[in-house]
Amino acid sequence: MKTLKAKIIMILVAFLFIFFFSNDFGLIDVEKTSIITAIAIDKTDDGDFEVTAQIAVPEATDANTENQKAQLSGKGSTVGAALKDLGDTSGWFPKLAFCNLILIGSSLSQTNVITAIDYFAKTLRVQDSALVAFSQKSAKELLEISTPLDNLSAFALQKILLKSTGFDRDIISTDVKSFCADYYSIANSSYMPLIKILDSGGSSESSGQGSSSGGASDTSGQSGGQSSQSSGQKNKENLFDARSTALFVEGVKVGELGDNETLALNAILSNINGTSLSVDEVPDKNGKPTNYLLTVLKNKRKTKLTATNNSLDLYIDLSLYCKVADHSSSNSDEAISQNHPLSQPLIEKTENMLIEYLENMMQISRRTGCDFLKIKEKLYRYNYKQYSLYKDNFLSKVKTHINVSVFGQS
Amino acid sequence: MKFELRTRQVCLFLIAFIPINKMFILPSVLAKISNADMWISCLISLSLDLLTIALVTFTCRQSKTDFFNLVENTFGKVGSKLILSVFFVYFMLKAIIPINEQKEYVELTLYTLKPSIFYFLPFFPVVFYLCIKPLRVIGRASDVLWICTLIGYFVLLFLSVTNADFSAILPVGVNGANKIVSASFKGFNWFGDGAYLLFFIGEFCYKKHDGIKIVASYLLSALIILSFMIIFYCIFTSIAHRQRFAFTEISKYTTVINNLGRFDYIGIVLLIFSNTFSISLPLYFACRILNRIFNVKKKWITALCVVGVQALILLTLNRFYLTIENLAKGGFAIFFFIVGNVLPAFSPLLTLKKEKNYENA
Repeated sequence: MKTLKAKIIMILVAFLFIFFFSNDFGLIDVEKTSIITAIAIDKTDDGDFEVTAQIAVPEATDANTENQKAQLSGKGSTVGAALKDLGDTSGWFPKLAFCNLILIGSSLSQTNVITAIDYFAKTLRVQDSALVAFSQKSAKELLEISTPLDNLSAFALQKILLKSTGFDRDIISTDVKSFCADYYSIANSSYMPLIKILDSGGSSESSGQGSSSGGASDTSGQSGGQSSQSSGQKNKENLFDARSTALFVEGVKVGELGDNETLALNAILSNINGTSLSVDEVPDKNGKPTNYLLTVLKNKRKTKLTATNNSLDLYIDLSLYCKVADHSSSNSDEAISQNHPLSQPLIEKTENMLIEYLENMMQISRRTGCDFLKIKEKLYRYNYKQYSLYKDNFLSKVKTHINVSVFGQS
Repeated sequence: MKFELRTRQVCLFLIAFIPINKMFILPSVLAKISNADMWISCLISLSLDLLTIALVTFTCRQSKTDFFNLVENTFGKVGSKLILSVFFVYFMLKAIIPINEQKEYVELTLYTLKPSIFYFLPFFPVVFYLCIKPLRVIGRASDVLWICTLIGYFVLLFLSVTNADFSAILPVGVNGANKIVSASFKGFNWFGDGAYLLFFIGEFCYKKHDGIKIVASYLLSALIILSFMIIFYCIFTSIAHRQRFAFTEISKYTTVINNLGRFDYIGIVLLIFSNTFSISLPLYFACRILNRIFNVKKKWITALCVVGVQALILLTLNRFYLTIENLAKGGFAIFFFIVGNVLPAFSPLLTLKKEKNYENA
């Protein structure tokens, strides 16, 4: 009897295991899976979304160490529909788990970009920690161009956008989650890096191998397999500049922050240790104008909003501990190697320069109406009693008090 | 008198199983209604549960016998069967949402494509096995799984706390008492844990200071839940209500995850493992009640009925899950509150009537 019972249990367990593993955990044949590394979203003239996916093509070989890629496009009335179109016409299952970059094309600047980005925040197919960036031109173009940094332009862009500790923090980093959280926040203001294409001055020879592009809407019926470059053709190589920032109010692009203002915004939003500051035309000990390069070793930042019935004041305190990394003076000294104290003229010039950057940044905020400093949110959270008084005119009413102190070894 | 549990196991039970099932969809449910004040809604529910657990612990101190005998002693055979039937329905209903949460979570996060519903069926034999075992199995499971719960929680905590903007919960109470209480009300399906403790009455040897130990264990459990809710909201702020599965989301924004990959899944899997037992508990206690009502000696019969009904609900009503969830958050919430909090809170009254000498019976 006991043996029979054990047999029944064994059969039952085996039966259940079949159920459990019958689906192979939903894995799809790797041959039919496209590993999407980046997505570019543009808007077509007829109002549809055009989604271009840069796909990494893994190759089982030791001979080629370069990443091979393919590029495919799909169109649809929503981003999800465009991705579906891409999968339908290529036969590949678009796997988005490794997609760490979402590029928004300039064609979306006059529409609410949340219609393009929100899909990635809603679906679990893609990580909403993926970076988002705005392209000065079409987003598709950013993925298509050749760069000496990596065969996959998406990887090159990620190197620029995602800075590790010790790197220059002069680029605003925004991911899907933070963009959506800012968009749906009380301030309705959000931002993302603006990517410009620079000419590297070099060129590369395309082998034509692996690099392909095509459109799902291709009238010739060739979907996703059309080679974009013929073998041996010379390509102009490009670099990317992401030091500017695109500003959005209610999802619509309203303006940009330049390099200096982006640096100032980074300095008050995040830790910019390791970032370099160029300070030009500062008299050295002999009175000769000298250009300096300072490295920020430590930064302390504080933004405080105080509101009364009569005034709204924003206090920005920035304190930077810097050292001289380089200078153009012809005098030979040990200042760089020994982290000597910063000269008073250099300190003053740096402080004035940063104050100017911060004031310019505030002016842009007032002009565009983009509350990237989250003044409204601060008003709501810390000064709720005055919130109704200033909620509609806080940008025009707020008085900014900027205090920057730069110091070095003493 | 032979005891099935030790006080230590009761304490670890509260730490191992109480916090986990509140980390799935409950945070988004609360955030949808009371936004930044979701933690206050949670605090209200936790305070109610704390009060219930303190009162049930007092009953444990006063009672020399188990809950079933106490109820029978006070209300007679018919009356006790009626009351136990109410608890049976409560546990059967209470199990539906958490089981579905776990199923949906595993489907969405561990599978690339949505699998057939049959993949989840192996869960039921596990519950069946648990249901035919005596109470000491729950005690032993608590002895083992509390560490899984704590490790899982701390992995997620350390990975997520640096990304939280704690000012997001300000200004406190601005959403109004209505919304805060409403959110708390809609979450009763996930609370009412004092009802479990009723079935521990007389099952462990109550010694001096045991009450403090049990209440302190619940306070630790409540602290885990509350801190999780606050961190969750402070990470997602205005989009918190859209994050259906809270604990898979909160840890992934750390730079270390970007560089090394999703190793936070180690913590997540540990929590899912503990949750497998946590979501089995209502069915386990439903079985014990059914055994008592019908005086069933062969436990596998009741276990088969209870687990079978629950599996059938999962298989057949899957399409109507949203309606079931809305019912649990709406009309049934008052039932969950009454049976999960109010009735156990009156348990000390059961000890007022002089108990029969069950040991000699």
